[in-house]
Amino acid sequence: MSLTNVVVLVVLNVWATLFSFQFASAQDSVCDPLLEERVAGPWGYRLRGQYCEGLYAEKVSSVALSIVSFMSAIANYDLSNGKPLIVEWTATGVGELRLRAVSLERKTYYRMDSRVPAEAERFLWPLEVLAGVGIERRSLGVLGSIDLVIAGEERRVLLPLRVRQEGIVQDKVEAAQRNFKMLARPGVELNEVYISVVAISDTGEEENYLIDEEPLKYGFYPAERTFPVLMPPLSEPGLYHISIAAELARGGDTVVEAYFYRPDG
Amino acid sequence: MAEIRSWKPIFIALTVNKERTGLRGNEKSAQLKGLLRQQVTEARNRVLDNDGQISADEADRLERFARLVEITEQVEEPAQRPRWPVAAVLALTLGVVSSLLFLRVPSTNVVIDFKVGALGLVVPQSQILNEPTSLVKLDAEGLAHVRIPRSKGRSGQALSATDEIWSQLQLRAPKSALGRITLQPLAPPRGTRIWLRKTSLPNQFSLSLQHEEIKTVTSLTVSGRLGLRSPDGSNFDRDFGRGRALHLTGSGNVVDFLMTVADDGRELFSRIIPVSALTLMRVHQEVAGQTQVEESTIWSGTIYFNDLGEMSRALRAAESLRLEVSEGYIRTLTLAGDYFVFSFHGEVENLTVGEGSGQHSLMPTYLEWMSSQHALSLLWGAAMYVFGLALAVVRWWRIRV
Repeated sequence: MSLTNVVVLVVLNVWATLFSFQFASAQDSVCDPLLEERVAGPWGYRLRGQYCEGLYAEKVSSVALSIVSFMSAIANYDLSNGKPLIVEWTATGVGELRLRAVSLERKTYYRMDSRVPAEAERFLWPLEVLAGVGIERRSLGVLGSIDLVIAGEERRVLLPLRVRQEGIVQDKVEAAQRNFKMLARPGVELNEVYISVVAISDTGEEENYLIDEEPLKYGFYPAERTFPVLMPPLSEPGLYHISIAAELARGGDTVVEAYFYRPDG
Repeated sequence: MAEIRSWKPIFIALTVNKERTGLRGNEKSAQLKGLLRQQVTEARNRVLDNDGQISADEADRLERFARLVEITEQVEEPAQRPRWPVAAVLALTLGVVSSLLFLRVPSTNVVIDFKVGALGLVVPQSQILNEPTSLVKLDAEGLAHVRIPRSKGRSGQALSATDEIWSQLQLRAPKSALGRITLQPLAPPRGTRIWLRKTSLPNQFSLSLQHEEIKTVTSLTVSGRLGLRSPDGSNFDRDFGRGRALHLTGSGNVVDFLMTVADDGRELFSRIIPVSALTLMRVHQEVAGQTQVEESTIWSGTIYFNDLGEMSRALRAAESLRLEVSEGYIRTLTLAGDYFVFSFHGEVENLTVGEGSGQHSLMPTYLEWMSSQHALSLLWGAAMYVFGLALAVVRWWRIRV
């Protein structure tokens, strides 16, 4: 090996080390500081390379209602073959996409948090923890959001995600691309849930309501049991706003609101 | 002559020893006794060898020698024992006992059950404070922005306090109108100071949130027909349908709310609220007189010292209690009639009661702590110490046991 090659290798090594330190420190903020790592063993919630993932301790208090998943397609995956999952989305604007995955099972306190450039349009998700905890397709909720300026104010906007395992043919999941599936989870028991969806104009104004205070009429909304949110057909691509209002069984109301983006195609 | 012969070696031996060693009286006496013991042993051996025969001279000589030893011991001055070890042991004993009795442990684990008219706390981390809470009326002050959601026939409004109209807001839910106001879970950021105070009106309390840097956002869910009133006096009703989100953003350090709950007795707040500071004193400030008076907000309470087993201490009404929290949390904070009922669990420092010269510490002394935490060790240690002390006294007074 010539002296020049040695010098180049040393420089590359130093650069790689510095880069990895910088990258690691940037990733430290990915983890949710509220999820204290109290679960012993390899599956506790902690930083795992570019993302934070794992089990966490139960929180005594939880929000009354939250959106936990927004996907347009999720293909079956095999927890035993070790191939990673691929999360994809259609980028709108630039910036950072916040990814969050949860277990939809009651009493399974699992979370994955990551931040990736929105324009990357995909995230490679190692299956290790999902396989270790045993979270299958029907128990997985994934949410992706970016910050967009709407009517002069920065708003968090949900992007529909597509999830498949590496090696699965893309066409099979793209067939369901327009079937947006939003899931919500109550922290307390609810009596009834009312959905409103409105299209948002280019100027950020509410245009026309696709549905307005439409009751879900599921009849039973126990705490921590996820339920699907009725979505009207969204023929036009663009920005929408959803409001999920609920009557609490213990009295009072709650509402969760979100902007979401319906991509073209 | 026999007498002279028999004494001679003794005196020679003593003289030689004295000259050689310069021994003191007590030491000489011991040496004399040793010499007697030696001669008695030699005489015994000789008697055994001679079938029990002992000469009169030898017996007489030993007898007189023994008499001399006896007389010597009688005339000997008692040894001058050094006094300083006694003083040192006494000082050490006093020091140890005083430390155990008067020095207090730096921190202790307590459970305190309170009934209070007001309390202040600081949250060490962002934490959900309350369950969704139904309100009949809400007054907010210190607002920068008010986002009023769309209502029937009206679109939403984002109002700013720059015109000083919307720095305050009142929301009412008249029973006749079937409207509802629900305070959503508050999650103030780390380091937020929270002050809760029961007012004189039924089911009403004030809540203040203070943070040095971050503006607090409070969310309400409003539904049905509600009355709104702004500080300029304008009243208007809005129908918010099945439920809309109304957001209030604080303008600066402090946001004050006056809340009237639909019913009391319910746990308004989360079951566990971590706290890094707890205040049960209220400051009364007289602006004209330039005086500040602190008064206790306690109605009643009991402090349970977990480190001291079952030991507890009751708190009287208006008794001043001050403490520093190392680590702790509040459980079951409830509005009950004229006061808040809650339980604090945690590690505290500088726990004091009283005012001015009457202020005293409730922190356990080391003796209390040791008797509770290490009772067996303390018992064994004390027993050994007392035994050693008694033995020393006995030996000091030369009492044969």
